[in-house]
Amino acid sequence: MRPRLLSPSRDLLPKAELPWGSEDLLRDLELAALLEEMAGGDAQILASLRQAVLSSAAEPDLQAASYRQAVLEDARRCPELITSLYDLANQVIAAERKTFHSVFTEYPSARLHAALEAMDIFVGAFGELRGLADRYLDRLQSEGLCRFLASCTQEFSESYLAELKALLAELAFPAGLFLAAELGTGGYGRYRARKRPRPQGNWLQRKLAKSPGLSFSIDERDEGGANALSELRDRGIERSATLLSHYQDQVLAFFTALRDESAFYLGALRWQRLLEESGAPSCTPLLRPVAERALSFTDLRDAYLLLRLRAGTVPNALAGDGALLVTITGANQGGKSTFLRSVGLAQLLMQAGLPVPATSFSASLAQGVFSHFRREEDAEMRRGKFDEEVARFSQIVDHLAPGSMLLCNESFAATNEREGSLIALQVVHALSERRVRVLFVTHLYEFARQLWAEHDPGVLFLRAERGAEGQRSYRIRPGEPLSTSFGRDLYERIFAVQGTG
Amino acid sequence: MSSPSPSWPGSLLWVANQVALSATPPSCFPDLNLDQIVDGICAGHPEPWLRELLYTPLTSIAAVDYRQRALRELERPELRAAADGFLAAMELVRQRQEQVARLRSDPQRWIWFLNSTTSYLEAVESLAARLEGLQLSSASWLGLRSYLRAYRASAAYQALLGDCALRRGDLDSIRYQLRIRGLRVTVSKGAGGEELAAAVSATLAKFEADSEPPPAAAGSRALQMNHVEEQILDLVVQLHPEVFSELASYQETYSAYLDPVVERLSRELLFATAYLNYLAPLQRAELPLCYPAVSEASDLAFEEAFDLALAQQLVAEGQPVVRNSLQMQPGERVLVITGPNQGGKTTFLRLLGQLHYLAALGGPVPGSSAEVLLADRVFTHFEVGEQTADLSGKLHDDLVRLARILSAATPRSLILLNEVFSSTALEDALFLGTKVLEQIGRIGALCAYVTFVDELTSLGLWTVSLVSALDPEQPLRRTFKILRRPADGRSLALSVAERHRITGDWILKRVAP
Repeated sequence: MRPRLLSPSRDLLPKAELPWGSEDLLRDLELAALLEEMAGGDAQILASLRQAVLSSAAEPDLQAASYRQAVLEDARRCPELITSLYDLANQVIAAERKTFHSVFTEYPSARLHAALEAMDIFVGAFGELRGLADRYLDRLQSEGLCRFLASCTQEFSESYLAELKALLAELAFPAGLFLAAELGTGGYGRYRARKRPRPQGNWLQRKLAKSPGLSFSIDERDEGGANALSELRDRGIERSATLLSHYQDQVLAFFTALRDESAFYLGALRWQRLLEESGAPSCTPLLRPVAERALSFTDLRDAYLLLRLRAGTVPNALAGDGALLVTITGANQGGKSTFLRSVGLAQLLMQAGLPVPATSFSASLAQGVFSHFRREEDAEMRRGKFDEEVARFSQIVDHLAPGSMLLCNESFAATNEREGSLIALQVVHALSERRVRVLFVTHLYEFARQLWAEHDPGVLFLRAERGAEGQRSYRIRPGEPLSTSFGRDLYERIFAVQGTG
Repeated sequence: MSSPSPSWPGSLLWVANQVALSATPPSCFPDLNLDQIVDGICAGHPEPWLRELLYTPLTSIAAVDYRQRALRELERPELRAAADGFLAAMELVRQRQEQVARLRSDPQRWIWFLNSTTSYLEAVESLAARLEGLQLSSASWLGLRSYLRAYRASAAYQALLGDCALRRGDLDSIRYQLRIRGLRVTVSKGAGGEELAAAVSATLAKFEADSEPPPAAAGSRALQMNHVEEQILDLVVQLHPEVFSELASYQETYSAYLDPVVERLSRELLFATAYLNYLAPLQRAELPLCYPAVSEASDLAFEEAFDLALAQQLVAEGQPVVRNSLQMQPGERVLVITGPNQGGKTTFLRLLGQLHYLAALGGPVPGSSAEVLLADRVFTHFEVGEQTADLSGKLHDDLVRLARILSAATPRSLILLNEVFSSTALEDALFLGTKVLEQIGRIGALCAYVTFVDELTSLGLWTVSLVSALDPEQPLRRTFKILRRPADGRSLALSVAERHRITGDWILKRVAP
């Protein structure tokens, strides 16, 4: 039994390793900073958001994303239910941690003792979950929450809880320990604990049926004997103790999953609130299958900058359905990187089932989202830097598949333009043939010019816009790549201010 | 024991009587990293005879051929599985015999003795059954199969087999129950009520999600019973007196049950499987291995060979292994290797030495094909690398060592010399190198000579010049090709892209459609 609030078929595993490439996304797209804003200082919420966003990026699941969109609708209606689930799970986990955790837990009797204590806590929490289900079930619509609460009603019935309590009582062995045995390999007994035999018939029949048996007692002063006996007891109850500990872990995992998954929705609710407060439009994205290669939006803002700058951020639009390659060229500091980041972040938010800062956003899920950004701080020798970026690109290639999305920011710029362009062209042609969607911010004019000359309808050309006087609007519009470097006006502006022209 | 196949030498590894094993490694071991290879093969096997087998190369073509055929056949998966099963069972036999010797109480000794014979019979029966099901071709395995047929048909073996099953059945059918109440223990016949662990599972199974319950513990425990367990066992013996008296007489009857040929077989198979296991990671990494053609006078030829010890490290680190090929023409006897440092010259010498030494052990060698000399000795003299102040003293010692090598070498020897005169003046190195190579040429021994003196590469038709080609892209890589001609260069950026496999062709290959 699992809460399954994030996906009908899978658990969110917060302790699992993040998928390959996560570090790059967290850093290149400012995703780490965005998630921290969304989490509002709660480490658990942060961990859940991070895991959900990054694992959804690596393993797109359209069903799960729309499942989450629906649960989020319910959560908006009943935010206090999500808070109650989160608080209950946290309390159970904290109480379980305080139970008997002995250094002797290799001993089955100690393990059994610890598991019994924990189970007592769980039994109480099962009852509370049933109570929450009774209170909220008829106000909910989403498959995720309805199914979870209905299963609480069914699985934690009065009679089940009674059966569970009776079993826990028996495991305290109030009438001594009964073991069945056979001879193991070396004549050692193989012991398995049995329930206390239920007496049958009247007292006389019981007396006659009793097998005589041979007995001995261990002397009270024989400490070694007493130890040997308790070791023997331990072997007898070992299987029961192991199983009970195992189920203790399973139930704890249930509450941990409940905590992690409700934490995700608390983060989502907070993100929703931040979007509303920003004043910029937001929407629930339209999820489209991987194969459609859809990517269209209006009024998309960079999610991270939005929280920093509020509505002052520049919105952009794109009609890129079917495109396999989008190149973005143009002025330095003209908003190219921000544009690339805004698309990447929106794609990640969408895949996780979260709302995005746009009037509309309709895109295919990507089979893995990857970023290859120029790393300023890796400045070594020129030769070493190019080698580093190519090596990094090569690692990404290991993880690409048809339907993946790759965000390139100034890739292959650490060599001369001719060679960089040659490599970039080979790379994008091959990736297009493998149906990997690439968004490529580049200064490599030779590269962009050759692509333009190919007239491939699957390639879109965007350009950072520049006004007649050279001022930037930070808008990204369709347009043919221009050869003039816009670095010149940046240079002029900076040096004019310094008065050193 | 009657031997139905008088031609079978009673061994998988030795075509004739086994020679005395050498207790110490040949002197070429450290230079060629053969010590690392032997350590790798012997990892987890402390038995000294395993090392000794590896220190003892074969000396005749027939002996190599016999062993190669046995090993080659052993590589068939079905036969290999049979051998592994047999070895595991024989290891149990050994452990259980030790246990019998160690125990103090009678009932326990009887039980462990029974256990040791059970394992032994399982080892023999299972091996025999599997051999019967296979089409065998080598003389060694065919001989073993007929030997096992005769052995298993013998009256003594049959009696052991029958009695073992009876005793085992009696013991396994014993059931009893135990009640522990405070310090009192009651033992009685019978089976008992509902199992508690099952009740736990039944009630809590609904929480099963991410893992199955852990399997029941395999029962690893102290080898000695404590006195409480012994008291319990004594009560069980009292409850079942007839079972245990039969067990006692079983041990007396069969105390010397182990067949010497079977015991020897277990050693030989351990040698063979340890050797093959050592090569397994390389096979998984798709490095080629082959059984070399050995002869007493052939020209050296091999394809895609590599340094086995180095390859083990590289494969463990996930690094590629550079392979080298060579074809010597008739009359060529001396390889003179020059080229930049760090270019793989020493590795190439090791490869040559390993190839010849391992070929003489009768096992597979690195490479997709190889024709090698069955060398009577492998001589090495490697520059240690450290700078010594007393140069003339060092040169003196070097020459003394070389003189010893040259006086012991025969036309069937392999001589590997690595930068012997590198710390002398160029003039000396040229002069001494020429002299040494001319002497080797006269002896007719096979030789590889690493030097910085280019003139030595063209002393005569019997010398072959090889050059270590250094990769300009990756000067730190440890193994490189040894070639007869240098490689040509290309555009730097594209070659970087090529090396990291991100050119268009590479991407199409690497990203599945």
